[in-house]
Amino acid sequence: MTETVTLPAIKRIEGHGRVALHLDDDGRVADAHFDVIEFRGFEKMLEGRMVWEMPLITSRICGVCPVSHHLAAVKAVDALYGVEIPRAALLLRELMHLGGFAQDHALHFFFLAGPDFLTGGGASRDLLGVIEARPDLARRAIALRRAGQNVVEVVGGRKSHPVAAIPGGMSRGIDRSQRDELLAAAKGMFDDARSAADLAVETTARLMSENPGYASTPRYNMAQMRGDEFAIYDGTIRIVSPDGSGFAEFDAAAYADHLTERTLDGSYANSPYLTAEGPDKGGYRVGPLARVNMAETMGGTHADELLAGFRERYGRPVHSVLAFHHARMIELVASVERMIAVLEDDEIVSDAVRVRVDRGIEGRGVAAVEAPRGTLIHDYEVDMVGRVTRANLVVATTHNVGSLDAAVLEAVQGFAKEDALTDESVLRMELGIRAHDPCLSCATHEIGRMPLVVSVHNPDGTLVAERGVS
Amino acid sequence: MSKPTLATVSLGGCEGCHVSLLDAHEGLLDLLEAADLVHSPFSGDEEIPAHVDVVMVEGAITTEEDLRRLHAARASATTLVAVGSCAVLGGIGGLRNLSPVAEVKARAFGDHVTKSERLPRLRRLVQPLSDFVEIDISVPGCAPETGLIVDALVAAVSGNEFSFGVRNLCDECHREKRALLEHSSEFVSDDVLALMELDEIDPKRCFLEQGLICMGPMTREGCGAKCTAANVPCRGCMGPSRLDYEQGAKTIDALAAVLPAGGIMYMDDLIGTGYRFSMPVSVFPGALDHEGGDDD
Ligand code: SF4
Ligand code: SF4
Ligand code: SF4
Repeated sequence: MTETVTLPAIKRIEGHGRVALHLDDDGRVADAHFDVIEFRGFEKMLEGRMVWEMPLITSRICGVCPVSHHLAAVKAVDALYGVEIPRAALLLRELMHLGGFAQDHALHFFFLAGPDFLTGGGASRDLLGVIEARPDLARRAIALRRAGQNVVEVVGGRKSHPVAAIPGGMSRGIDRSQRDELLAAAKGMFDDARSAADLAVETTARLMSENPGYASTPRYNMAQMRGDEFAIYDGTIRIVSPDGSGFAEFDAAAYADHLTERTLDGSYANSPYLTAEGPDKGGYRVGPLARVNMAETMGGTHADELLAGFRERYGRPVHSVLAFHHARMIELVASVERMIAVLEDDEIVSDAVRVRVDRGIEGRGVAAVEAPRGTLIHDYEVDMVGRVTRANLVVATTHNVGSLDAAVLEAVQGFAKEDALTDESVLRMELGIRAHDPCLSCATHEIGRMPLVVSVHNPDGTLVAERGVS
Repeated sequence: MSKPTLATVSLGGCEGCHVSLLDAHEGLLDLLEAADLVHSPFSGDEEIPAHVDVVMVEGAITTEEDLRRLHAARASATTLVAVGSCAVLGGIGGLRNLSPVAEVKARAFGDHVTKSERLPRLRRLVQPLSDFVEIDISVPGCAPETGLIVDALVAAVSGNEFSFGVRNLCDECHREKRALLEHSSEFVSDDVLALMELDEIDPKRCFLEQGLICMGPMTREGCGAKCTAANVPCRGCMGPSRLDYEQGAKTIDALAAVLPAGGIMYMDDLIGTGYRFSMPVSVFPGALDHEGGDDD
């Protein structure tokens, strides 16, 4: 069968999200892949660089969540040289992370996914649509982003690609007046975060009732947690089974014993799975939904109330990817509450923010943080002088590749090719993709909107149809 | 009179320049008042319209698809604004030019490096926009400060000139510098150190005098010396202050009088530090790779 149908709507849009659907012998959709088409080759570029420069270089992987890479890298170097950083440095790093985390979640909810559910029918489904149709929400989003980015800049030295986390601690601390200013701003964020969460409760419920049962296949969940508590900076990595029972718990350094990265022909992203379960059964999910599923406490009073409400409504664990939106806003509230707690800790203004670290060990440093989109792992091997000989980075979006594929497949499984390419089908695929908030830099390369190119392939891989939708 | 039109395009980069633009916060709303945003990663159709008054381009040319989109942007734009060190200098992604494409892919994908023909083909080298098209306004930085991007776009939209300082970063840096100005027969330090190796980080003294490589003397001003103010040496993200010299070669040139050259070579990573953001405009591109791009 070599029939090729090119639908009139098709345009060449390489720079966009791409989905490949595969037909079975009966011409029905049997498999689906969300493909990543960007590749910058960082792992090779890092070889030969000095390991203490990793926090400054790897932040450039992603302009949307540079703080996560900055911190995962610096923690890996601390681990390599076996240093304990002073408590004040721990607080400062966590604070910087929370600032970046909060602004990122606000960006996604209001401006990136928001167009799916915040604007009415007539408005354009993009950031401009939100600004036009809901200027009140746009102002809220801007206020949250401004405050979050300000935390990153004051603590990290710069808001884009921060610099102040160095092996052994921080290059410098903050003083009392900076603390007071940040604390006032964090308290100011609280109301905006709460009303965002209220909005998320309502819109998630609506999305779920409009799309009953959509994309809710049970999967494993994975997150780094501090015991039973939601934590984004440190902890141990935990995996729970699809039924919610514990499956594994390990230190980030042991990630390679539990996860296998599989490469894909049609994508520049690798797709990891749980080694013990194999590629077919070992798919897992990371990010807000996984974290909220696994946490006993979010670490803040209001966020815990939201968590209880979430459980009451949807049970535990929740597998519907549309619940990502709700979970993300619970995390926004939790991070603002945690930010306030960290800033109220007097040690945050201590001068003792670093210990000296010497090079001279050959070895390996591995560490993880929870990035806004999920677990981020940095792994470096270095020589005696401190030069990187091998680097491996597992970014959040790659963990979710399997979950993304499943969401896309559920939207159109069993459809004939014509039905798989209707506007309605494509919208449904988009809804599932966007709920995950795939890292826009490393995955879709588009901020805020995700025009898709959907292609359909025969069992032998030949292209039979394709369409682009903006 | 109708408002001027504005488009923004993202090629091989990290979106950090776009995020820096978003960081204008309310200022973004003002910019959207002054110009109609007709196409961007946030909004509009997939392809850039045939005519746009001002087009901002982020990112370097890394794939054939980047190049196609750059030509479309140039054909559409009255004024083309290259934003960020990736667009202006090739940027940090240019460090991949040190290795053949096949090795870069092998490192990421192991033995399994064959990729579908439907993926955009990687070019042999990462290159700045100016290797292919004429650029009207360049704004270096990784990412450039929000104010610099907004000023450049406002100037472009209103048809004004845009320029900013071309002295070096030491000029903006608040640190006391003596070694750079005085002749001495001694090096300031026996070793070249990493920041983490200092007993104390002196918040007032020039980093070079503390035995560290700082890219200030080889780097263009304009960022407000943010890193040195945060007690971290400059890594040169604004690129060279004049494009007629090599940022990395200049490092040896400028520092050899202050720090022991052997230490710079052995204790540090001269290429990865000196050329971190400007490898694609150095003498190095292509020197190490005769294999061609993706599938050659
Ligand atoms: S210049 Fe820097 S911030 Fe801008 S796209 Fe390139 S890496 Fe990202
Ligand atoms: S070399 Fe660095 S620390 Fe010294 S004056 Fe220049 S920018 Fe400042
Ligand atoms: S100090 Fe140097 S590295 Fe830091 S922002 Fe300025 S130019 Fe870039």
